[in-house]
Amino acid sequence: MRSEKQWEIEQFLYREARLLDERKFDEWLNLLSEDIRYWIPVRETRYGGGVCGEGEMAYVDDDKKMLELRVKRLGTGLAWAEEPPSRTRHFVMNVEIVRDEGDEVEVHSNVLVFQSRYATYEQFYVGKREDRLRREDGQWKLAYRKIILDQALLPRTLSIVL
Amino acid sequence: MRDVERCDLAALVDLDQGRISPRLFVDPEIYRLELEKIFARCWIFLAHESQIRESGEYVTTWIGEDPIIVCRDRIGKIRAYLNMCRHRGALVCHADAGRTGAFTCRYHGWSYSTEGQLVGVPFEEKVYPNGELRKEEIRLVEVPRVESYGGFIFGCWDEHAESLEAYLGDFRWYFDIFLERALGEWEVVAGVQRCVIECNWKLHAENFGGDSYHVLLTHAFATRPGLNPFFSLGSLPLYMEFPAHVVTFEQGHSMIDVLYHGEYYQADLEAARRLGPEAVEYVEACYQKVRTRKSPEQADVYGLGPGLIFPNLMFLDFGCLFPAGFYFMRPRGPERHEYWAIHLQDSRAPQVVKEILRRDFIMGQAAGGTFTPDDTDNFWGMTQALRGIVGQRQWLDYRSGLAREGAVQIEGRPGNIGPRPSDRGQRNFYRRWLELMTA
Repeated sequence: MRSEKQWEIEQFLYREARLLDERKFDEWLNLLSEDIRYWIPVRETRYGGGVCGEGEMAYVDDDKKMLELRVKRLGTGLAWAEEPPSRTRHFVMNVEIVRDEGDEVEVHSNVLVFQSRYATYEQFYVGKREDRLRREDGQWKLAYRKIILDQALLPRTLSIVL
Repeated sequence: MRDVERCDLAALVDLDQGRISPRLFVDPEIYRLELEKIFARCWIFLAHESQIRESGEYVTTWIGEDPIIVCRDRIGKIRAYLNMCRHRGALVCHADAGRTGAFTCRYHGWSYSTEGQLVGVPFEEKVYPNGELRKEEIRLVEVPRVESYGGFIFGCWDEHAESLEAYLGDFRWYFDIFLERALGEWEVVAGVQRCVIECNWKLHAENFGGDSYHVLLTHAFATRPGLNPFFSLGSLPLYMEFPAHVVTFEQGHSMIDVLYHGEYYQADLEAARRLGPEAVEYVEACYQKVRTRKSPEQADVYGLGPGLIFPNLMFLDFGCLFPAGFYFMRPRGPERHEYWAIHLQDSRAPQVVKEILRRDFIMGQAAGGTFTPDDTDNFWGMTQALRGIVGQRQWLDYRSGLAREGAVQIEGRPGNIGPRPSDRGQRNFYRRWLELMTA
């Protein structure tokens, strides 16, 4: 039987994806807990893994303040990599609650992000999200996200939220 | 495709007028010639020694479009090989980094020692009976010149090239400041950021090696309240008002924001005070180390600013509290390159400093940072425009500073010092480029 919680979590992730694609970044920030860590470690081609760990290199390793700075930057009209804005589409799939502790759950999912800039500048980012969601005052918040990219070489510099 | 003649090239680079043809950034024939005349002849950055500490450790990289393995052999000597089996040319190493006892081709299983010697040939007696194959005569193609300077490993295909020290030339006086400033050892933070950038590698090289002009314009966001992503640098004068100069070197290297008298040090001290006594002590110790082990003049420079080691290693260094970045470019055709961002840290920096530097590196001049994506979107756009047939008939403008050549002299500082901002670094880059391309 499909649980209520699974449905709630999926709805949260879909709403989050829609806000990013609609570039409602301030609303998106409201979905994040104050102590969030948003982490995209560097991936390398190595025998036995190649995902960078703590204290090692990452493409993004942000706390809430850093994410707010990124959003504020996008609002200046001076962030040329997103001026005019890229069109993005986030696809969130394979949503699986891997640990359920009541008001805190660990959720794994796959993410596929398409980015289109200008007429001909297009790319995909593909990876696995390892999220922790926490219920705060009745609302789910994203408290932790680690994105394990499948790509050891980014298709361009990263100017969007994955 | 017609051949690019010597005289053609000289007509594309007009340094007296300070102008350059767009063809340099899109022409496949010029690009092919660069692989031969520049990448296969210059000293090219391969790796940092901290990435391969033990025997058998390796990283893979590229010299131009040739795949390269850099490794420590059994006695710890650093060697570099073409990553290509001598049998049919398959790669003998497929990972970005790792550790191995041998490089084994997966096509027919030929195996090479870390000394480059062919040591294993499966079914040798059946496939090559009666000594058809003389294993002892077969080795991986070895990069003939591999030398390190301060832990930075470079390789050169030209057996007769000058030494790496001579190639770095007067830039060493400045590079030594960076190298000496670490209380421990400089070491690469594990993991190299890699991304594709859709433009000719030279557009990126000349940006680091010359373009202080774009900083306040392309990166104008950082001057808005609350948007400077860096912990340090806050107390420096507005970027265009820096009392700085450009230093260029015969071999094509350049530095574009060299300050006069310890301004980067003062900015570091101020930032360190916000972190507490441990950080202040650290910054002071680094400064004193350069002062006593090198010279007071070098200690006063303190940070190198942005710059380029010709042809394809860029750097960014504003002192102990700004993340040290080295940026390697792998060319991939006339209109594409890969950008490999490498962050180095002083092994003896306090933990609180290390964590700030790592965050600032990721947030600043890096693949997912707040600076690089804006640059590369510009470079992509330039490539769209420069590719056009009418666009290629135009000149690009590099005249800034032409009337101010040689205007700056600073006692005791080597290199050719000139005014900033100016296009002096770019002109030096293309002077050296033309020299090599027409040699």
